Amino acid sequence: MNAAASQPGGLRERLRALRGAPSTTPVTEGLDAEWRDRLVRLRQLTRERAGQGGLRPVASLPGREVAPGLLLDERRLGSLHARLAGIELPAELSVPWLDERTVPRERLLFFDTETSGLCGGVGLKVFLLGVLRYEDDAFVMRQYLMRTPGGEGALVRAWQRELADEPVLVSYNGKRFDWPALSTLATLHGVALPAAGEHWDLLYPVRRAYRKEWPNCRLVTAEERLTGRPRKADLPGSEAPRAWREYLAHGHTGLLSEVMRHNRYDLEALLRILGHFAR
Amino acid sequence: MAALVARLRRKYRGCITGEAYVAASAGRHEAVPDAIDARLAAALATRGVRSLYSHQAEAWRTVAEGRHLVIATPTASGKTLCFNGPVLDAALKSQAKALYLFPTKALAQDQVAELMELNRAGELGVRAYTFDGDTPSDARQAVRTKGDIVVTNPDMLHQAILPHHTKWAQFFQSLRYVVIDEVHSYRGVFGSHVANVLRRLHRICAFYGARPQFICCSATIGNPGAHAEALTGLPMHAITESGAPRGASHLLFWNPPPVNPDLGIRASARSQVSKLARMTLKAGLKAILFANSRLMVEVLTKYLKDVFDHDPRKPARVRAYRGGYLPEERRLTERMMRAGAIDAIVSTSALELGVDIGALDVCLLCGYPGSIAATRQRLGRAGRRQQAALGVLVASSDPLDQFVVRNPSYFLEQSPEQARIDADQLLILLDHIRCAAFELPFAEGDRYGGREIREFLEYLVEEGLLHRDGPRWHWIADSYPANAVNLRSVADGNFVVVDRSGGKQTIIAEVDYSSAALTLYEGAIYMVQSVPWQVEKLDWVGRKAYVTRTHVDYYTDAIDYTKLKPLAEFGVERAGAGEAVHGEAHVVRRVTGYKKIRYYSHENIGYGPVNLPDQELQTTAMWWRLPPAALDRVFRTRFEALDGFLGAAYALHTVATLLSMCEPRDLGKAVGSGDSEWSAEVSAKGRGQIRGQGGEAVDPATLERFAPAVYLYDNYPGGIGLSRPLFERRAELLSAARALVRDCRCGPGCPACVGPILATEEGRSPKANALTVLDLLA
Repeated sequence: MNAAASQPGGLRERLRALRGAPSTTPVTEGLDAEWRDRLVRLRQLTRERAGQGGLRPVASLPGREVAPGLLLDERRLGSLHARLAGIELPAELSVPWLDERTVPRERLLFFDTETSGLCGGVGLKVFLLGVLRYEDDAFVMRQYLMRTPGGEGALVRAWQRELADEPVLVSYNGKRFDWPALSTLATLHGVALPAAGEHWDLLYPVRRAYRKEWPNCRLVTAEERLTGRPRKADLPGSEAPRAWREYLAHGHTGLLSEVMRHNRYDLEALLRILGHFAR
Repeated sequence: MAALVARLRRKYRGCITGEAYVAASAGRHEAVPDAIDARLAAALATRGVRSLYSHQAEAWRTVAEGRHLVIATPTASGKTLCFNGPVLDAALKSQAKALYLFPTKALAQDQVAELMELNRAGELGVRAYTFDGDTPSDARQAVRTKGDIVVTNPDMLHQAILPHHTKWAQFFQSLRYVVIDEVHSYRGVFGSHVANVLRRLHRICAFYGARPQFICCSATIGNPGAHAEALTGLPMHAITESGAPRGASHLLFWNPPPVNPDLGIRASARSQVSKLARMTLKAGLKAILFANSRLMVEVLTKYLKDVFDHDPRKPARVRAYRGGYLPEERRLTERMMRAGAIDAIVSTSALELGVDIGALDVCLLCGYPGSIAATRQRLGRAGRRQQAALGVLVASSDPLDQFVVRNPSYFLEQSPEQARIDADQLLILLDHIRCAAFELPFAEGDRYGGREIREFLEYLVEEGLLHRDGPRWHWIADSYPANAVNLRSVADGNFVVVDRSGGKQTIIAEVDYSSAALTLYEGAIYMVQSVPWQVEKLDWVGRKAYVTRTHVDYYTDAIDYTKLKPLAEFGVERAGAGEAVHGEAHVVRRVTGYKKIRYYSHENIGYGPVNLPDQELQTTAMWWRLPPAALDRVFRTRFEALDGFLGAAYALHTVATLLSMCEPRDLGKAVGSGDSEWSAEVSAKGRGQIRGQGGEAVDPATLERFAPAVYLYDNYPGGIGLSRPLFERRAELLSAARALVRDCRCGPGCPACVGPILATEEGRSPKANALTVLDLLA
């Protein structure tokens, strides 16, 4: 290690200069002690103001803190809301990919996640898990929001509980994306998930039936074409990673609330698309 | 073979400056250990292994004791069995898993083929798979969950395995052995990266509760134990005594005959090697030729093909092999070599490693490979399987070459170089801390590579990549950091060479970033299997060079110059009448143009301009400077002083390369003013020339202040740890450089001491001037 690295004050500046276009000013020249102290204090202040120092405005996010770092927002969909939104399914489902068998709607678990990106790998964070199920004569939506990364273990254990009664999973591209991402987290936290049971990934039947007709087979396209309900006033899903980081860095809840709404819309769309395939 | 050697001795006595003969030696054998699995013992017996060489038996014992080890014995001494034996034994007895790392895909594939043969011989049922970029995605799942031995390379471990470790959870939980072959090739920048990949591997293994045993293999280097320890961060037991039998071998040191003795100009190494190759092939022997650059491989191949492959109806007898060729092409050449279908292969260092290319008789080195270790490794490619072999080291006019060929005892008596890495190089460390944070969050008090890294984590928080939550730092960015880190080159982004002759676009080669500016400028002749293409357009941003097939009688060589500006001084010491400094510097390298050189005559038939972005780096350096007054006392003109500085830089660089045991390209040299007002280089006419800040030519007599300095710098952003030891050993460095210049038998200077002198002028002696500068600093 060379001399510069052992001077802690200079290290970060040095890294910055080495990584950017190399500058022509020396990066090893130490600031004088007083200025360094002032900078440190200033940085601390800006952080506290941004909500990193401890106080965090959580009030404007829906839900309650069920574990450190994990919020749960649970809502029962009243029958009027359900009817208006087209959230309806027969008590026993029969779908083209099951021969004679039917599945009761209580056994279905619709799920969808929002993540810190699309890059894959262990560093991908699932910060929002939304599930929709039929419980006690009504549809219930549960959204688990990882408010801070420390809530990850609690989120995985919540997922483990959701899977405990071996439901039939319903997702859109969940086989390739959401399920593996959640399984990665389970391994990381030493949580044993039940082996993947029955999983209806609706992307596949949609693709088989409409690939040639439609410009693409994204969830919103399928929703609009199959259920005649175009998505309005919604944040695009691609904004989700930024929304979460904005919240972590500055405590801004606006975008994140919109991501939660987007996730609820996606779950409802999932249910309506299944309704389209159900006989 | 004996006839060829006798003929060379008789006809070319004047060229042979030294000879070495190693007699055949018998092996030392030990019994196969009793405790091994009976199925494995049977498989070995089927393959003809009924006893072990002593070093194999020692390796087996060391593994059984649970110690980490490195085996450093010569080429073809049966190193593979040292790790395959214990690993297969453990796989059979207790389902232990192993991870094998090889520096290249080709070596990994060879290895699996060998394992499969042993497997078949004994019906062992052990599953060995390669895992690399060619592994189809539907087969990857099986490799991860079913493989007993997974054979891969550091790049895949870095980019595909560690960042997805949860998919490999089962594998890591039962991981008992990590085998790293060719550890000597993990040195310098590449080695520093690999050391960090292994630090990340340790973290992941610890996470899954595994503590694998490391088995390393190395070619003969000066410090196999210490190097393996630096690389793996683990204590190592080193096995260096080979018990394998050896065939006899001749080694000739060959200096091309002088053309102009006064100027120290000799016939080229290229012409000598192609003559020796012709003699070898005409004697019915098979040869491997090593050249030190891709360009030289192509030129040599063309010359040999002109003699042996001029009839297109017959199969080719000569083939080239180098990095940058597409993999299929290389695999084809390897197969043809093994089948004995080719009589001569011309290669860069790409064939230095253990790729199996069958038995060869003669090894010709066109130029000194730059280190004793690499030379021995290359010579080892001839005479495998215990047959007599001949190696000829043909010196070029480079100073290192001339030093070695004039002092054969240096090569024969000196122990081979030490491999060095700097795993804590700042940028490399930062790259891998980022990757490690992606793979597992860092917790308060966690160490990485034995070091406290809080500062780094805080920096990454400021960059928005990590988020601190209580005692842990979590990765939150939308990126996959391993993709941004290339283990093998300084800057990422290889260039592809696209042939658009005849309207189609075909990729014919790949060139790494660092050599793109020197080989792919517009107008350059780019060769593959000695067939010339001309670069028509270079898309620097898109990393593409468009070429068309051409027919010309010349090749091209880039002209570049280097400008250096000191930024900070870490240490200053008196050095004679001047000062020696260790510090930090900003280096700009610019390719200004190229020369067209005609085949065979090697005359310069024209120049072309090149317009490419400057390459910049900020690095550590050491330099010497002299005040104007001291120079005015001893030099009549500034031109003489400049000559002296350029000559001194040349000699110091040569000696520093030897002293720090690095590759010549790892260490840069430059002459300039201490305040970066100007920089100097040797012009095409062989005279010192000064350029101002904008690159314009300047007459030194018109400068207000003339205070030159000579710089040696680490040729890597942030430095790679070479310049500090040089600064500490500066007295030794200076006296060795003075001895090199003083004791050279040339007249005014030559390539072996102060650099080539192209024209004689009355009363001009760059050599004397260089000595004056070196004396002033002593």
